[in-house]
Amino acid sequence: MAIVNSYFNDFLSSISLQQSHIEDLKLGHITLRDRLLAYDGLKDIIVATFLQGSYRRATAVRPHADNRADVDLIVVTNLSSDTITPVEVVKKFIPFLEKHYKDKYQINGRSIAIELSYVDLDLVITSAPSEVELTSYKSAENNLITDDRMITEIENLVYKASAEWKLSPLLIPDRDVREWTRTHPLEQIRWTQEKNSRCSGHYVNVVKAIKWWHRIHSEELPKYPKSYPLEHLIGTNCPEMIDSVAEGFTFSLEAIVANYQDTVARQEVPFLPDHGVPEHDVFKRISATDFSQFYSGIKEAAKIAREALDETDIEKSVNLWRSLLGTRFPEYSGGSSNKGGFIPPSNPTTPQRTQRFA
Amino acid sequence: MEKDQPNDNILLARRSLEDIDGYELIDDWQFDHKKNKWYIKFSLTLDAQIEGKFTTNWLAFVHEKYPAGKIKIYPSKENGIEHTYLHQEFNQNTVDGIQWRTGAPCLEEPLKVVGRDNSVEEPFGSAPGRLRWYIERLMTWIHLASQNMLIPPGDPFEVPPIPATKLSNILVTAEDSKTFGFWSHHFGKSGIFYFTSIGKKNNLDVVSFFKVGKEPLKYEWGEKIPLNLGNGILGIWVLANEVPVFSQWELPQTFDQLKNVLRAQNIDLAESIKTLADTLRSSKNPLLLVGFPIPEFVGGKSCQIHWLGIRLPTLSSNEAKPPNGFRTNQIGRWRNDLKVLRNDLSLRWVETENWSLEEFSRRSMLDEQITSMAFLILGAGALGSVLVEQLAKLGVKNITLVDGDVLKGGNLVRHSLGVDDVGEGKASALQERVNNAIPYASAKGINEYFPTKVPEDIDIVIDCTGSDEVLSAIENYNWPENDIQFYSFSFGINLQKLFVYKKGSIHDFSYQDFTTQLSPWGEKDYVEHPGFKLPKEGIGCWHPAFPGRFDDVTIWSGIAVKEIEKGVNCDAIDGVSTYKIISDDDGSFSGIIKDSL
Repeated sequence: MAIVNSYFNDFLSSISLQQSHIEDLKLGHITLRDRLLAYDGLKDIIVATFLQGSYRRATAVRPHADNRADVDLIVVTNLSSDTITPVEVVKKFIPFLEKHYKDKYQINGRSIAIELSYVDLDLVITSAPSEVELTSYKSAENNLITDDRMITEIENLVYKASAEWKLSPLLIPDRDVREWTRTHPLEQIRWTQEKNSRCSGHYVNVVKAIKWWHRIHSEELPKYPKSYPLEHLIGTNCPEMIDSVAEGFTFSLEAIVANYQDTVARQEVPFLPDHGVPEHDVFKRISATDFSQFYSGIKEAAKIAREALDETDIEKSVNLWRSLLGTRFPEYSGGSSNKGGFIPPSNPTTPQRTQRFA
Repeated sequence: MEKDQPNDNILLARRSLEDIDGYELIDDWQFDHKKNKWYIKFSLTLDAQIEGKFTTNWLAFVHEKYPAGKIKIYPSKENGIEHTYLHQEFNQNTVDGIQWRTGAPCLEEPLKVVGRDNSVEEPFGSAPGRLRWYIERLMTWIHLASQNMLIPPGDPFEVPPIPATKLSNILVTAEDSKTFGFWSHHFGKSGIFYFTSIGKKNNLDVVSFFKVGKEPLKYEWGEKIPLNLGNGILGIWVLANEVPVFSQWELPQTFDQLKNVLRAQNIDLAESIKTLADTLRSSKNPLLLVGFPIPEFVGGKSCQIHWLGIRLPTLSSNEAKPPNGFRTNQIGRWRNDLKVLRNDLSLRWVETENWSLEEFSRRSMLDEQITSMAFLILGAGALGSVLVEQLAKLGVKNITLVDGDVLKGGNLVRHSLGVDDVGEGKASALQERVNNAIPYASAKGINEYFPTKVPEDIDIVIDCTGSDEVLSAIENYNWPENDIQFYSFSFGINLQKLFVYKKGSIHDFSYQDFTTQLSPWGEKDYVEHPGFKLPKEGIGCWHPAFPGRFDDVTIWSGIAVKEIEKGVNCDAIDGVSTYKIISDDDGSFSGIIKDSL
């Protein structure tokens, strides 16, 4: 089996967010939060803010060349789902948006999208389900859950902030169905962190690699599942006994192939309960046709990945990975001089080539 | 500041390691801010026939601008090699927080290599190739080290590296084949020695004299290193029978280890120090020299003594109160000394250099036939100042320099002396410069114009004055009866020519002969430079100065040296020869040829 870990390292850093993306994200969300907390009509109803999304979970890949990076900002309010309707909640934020983000925002079903020249922000307004939770969120502010950093930058997040992670799901005002629905972004983050440490830190990279595979092969694959649902599917199937990203990539695809063979045969879509809100099916909107086509793509990729993993010749292995992951996966570069080993000494050292002195 | 990403070449270099058998990456590139370099941690697994498989961990450091810059590979603290082997820097542990030990194997070219595997030469400039080349060499090195085969007989012998030291002092000795003959009767013995501290920072401790029973050994230093037996500094020497190393090629790090290594050679170090301790009581951190015989080549016969220095702790003073139960005598004082000469005393090794003329000559000098001659140089101007330094650097020891001129600012453009010397006598200022140029020079400057009294034991006189007055004085001087060769060097117009006049015996020299032989050359020079007039030395000055550039002075001085060498090596030398610089049509330099009339 050829070891191509360093090829994967370089591939991953070439598809991860660049420092400039991260600076943009920070500037965007910090400005948004500062403005929210300074806004007269809102500052009294905001209990806490924190980040979620693939950026926070460290599973984000680099946006397409002409796209911007995006980040989700969760705002926990003290608005009670008993006394205020989802539509009214969003209305409370409109004067603020008009003032600071005029012509740059769009209200979606469960969030408000703000498109700036350099970054996309998704503002998610939520409500804490009870007074007790409200207090907990309040005290949790300035704590790890509100930390800006990606989970991979924070060691032992789970243990240090364990009290905060026990919080219950939040409520989201869903404009489309005009009711409050449950969401648990913190549980998604916590779950990812824990999974990642059980996978020796390879998990988030496996997610990124598969997301990238998805992007490279987007023409042959259905549009959905992608982004979080795709990540969730990987999370559900990625085994924990992996020693490298290459293994995680291969084993995850193979697990998907094995686990959903019957589902696909029945022309169904698997039910994937969301972390923290198990009644939610992450794959709810995926059609059976799409899933079947997606499944075929995974099956094909799993075969090539297995071949690449088992290949003993590095050059061949690298070429197979490149066919899966595209040109960001570095070209083969080794084998420049004699292969390993040693030749025992025979003659005393003699000076070689141009011996110049100065 | 966090370094973001190593450059693409650094990433490529590391990828190209993946198919080396036995290589495995442990930690990917990180930036070390202290070394200002990127490093990876990796393991190498070797399958040796005797030991079976074994794995060692290493850290490889590369420059930010790789493939440019140096590459160094250190043993990891965790699962790295702990001893010091041949072709390796002293493998010391480092402070907490640093992941590596100091023992970087010497893997790079030239010469200090394991390069006898006849493998490819270091691929400078190749990003995929260069780091890989080092790691493949490292594998060879590990294998050879594990088999004790790092140097085959016939390879240059290498003394063991000393542990890194904070001491900036360098201990200087002058051992060669002659002194080896002396020492060969004294293995296992010990005694005292004298040294002198010189250098701008007083950091060169130069040994000048060993007391060896009743017969001393005195190094033949020049004026720079005074013998100073009266008020020189003392130390103790111990001459071992063989290199004092243990487990492979490692020097002792504690006093106890040193005692044990020497005890194995039947030398009682403590006893040696005890015997001589009373002579060292006034010395702060006295020096201990440990010497041992070394061959030039592995497997060859020993031919030289190599000394290593250790700074001991300051011994107790004569007045110090001995421990209870001991009297204030030698035994009592030694009891006090043992409080500092503890077994766990960490040895402070001092770097040593051998400055023997034999060693210096490896870089090439003049033959002893010339260097043993006593030189009298008349004239310490442009040519004299450069020539005298060249001769000294080439090994000439005994030089007397005569010139009554004082250095002026205008001289600086083509004189070896500098700004600090302006206003000083050229001869005395050069004396200092020449004696500093090399430790064997014994130059003496006389700030007077010739004729003046010069030493009797002269073998060769060189005129660099360009002055007819001096030539006339040379003819009339009452030279000692012995054989004295005579050379006169002077320049043509604009320093485009060098005139060389030689006489096998100064007793045969006449000013008339000189002018007869040289005047046709002078006339030719004037014909070639129609309308030439000497410029004034400066605006507002009547005195004329000859034009000419310093680079030409050094060219001619070099040729003068070769003329002297040629003259000393053959018998019939009388005559004149002339060299000239030739130019292309556009006036640019083309070469140097011998001129003819």
